[in-house]
Amino acid sequence: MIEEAVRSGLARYEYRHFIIFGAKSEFAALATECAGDQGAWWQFKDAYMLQGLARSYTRTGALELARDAQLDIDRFSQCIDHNEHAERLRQMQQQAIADGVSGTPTFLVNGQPGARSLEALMRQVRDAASTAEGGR
Amino acid sequence: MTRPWQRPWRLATWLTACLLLSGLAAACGSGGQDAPPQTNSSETVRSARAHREASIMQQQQYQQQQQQSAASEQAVADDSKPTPDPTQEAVVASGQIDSGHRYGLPFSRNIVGDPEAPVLIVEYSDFQ
Repeated sequence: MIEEAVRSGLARYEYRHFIIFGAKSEFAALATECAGDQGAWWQFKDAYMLQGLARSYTRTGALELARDAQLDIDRFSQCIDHNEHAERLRQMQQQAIADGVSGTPTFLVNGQPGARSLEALMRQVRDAASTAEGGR
Repeated sequence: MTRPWQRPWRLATWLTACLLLSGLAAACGSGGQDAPPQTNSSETVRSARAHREASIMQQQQYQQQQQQSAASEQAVADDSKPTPDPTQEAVVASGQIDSGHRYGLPFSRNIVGDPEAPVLIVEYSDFQ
């Protein structure tokens, strides 16, 4: 449903990490950000979220994903080994707390807390779009 | 018995010999090999001044080099600092998704969809 709203041009969708499950989650977030440096952010996100690839929560698994996505392996592994996006992840975590996030998933619609059900969320998106269009 | 210095001509001979020896010693010089030549006092002063000025110039050049080196190192350090704002970083990798269920959608790192869309949906989540 969110994808429909995005495809229709009504909304854009941003994913932010809110790490609550520890080291494996943190590693997956880092690997996704490192893939994002080479334009493969969404491939990695899907690998972790949709395909549920348990192997990818290890360094070896992440490197396999990177090879599948035809990334520059040296650059990717350097990014992981040097924890290059630690600051970005830390900032997202702080922003989540500032936004009042305490669990996952949590949605915001134009900065306002999102509804719990998808149907209610989509109504909220349409209302926000009407308000934004009316204000233009 | 008379002592040598008690005889005038022997005393004169001794004095002459002493003068010759002291003259010879002065001509050979008493400084080390690196000491500037001891010619006369005004030349010595000029030489010492030139030596000191050269030393000061060398010191100044060294300080300038150190300052330039420190400045260039600082510039490199500034350039290598990570950009702190995630929103700024979000524009690093962008394009169009070329596979999967989001095929054809524009993306900018972790944001997908039309940048001009009126609504922004943010999802906070954890991969596990």
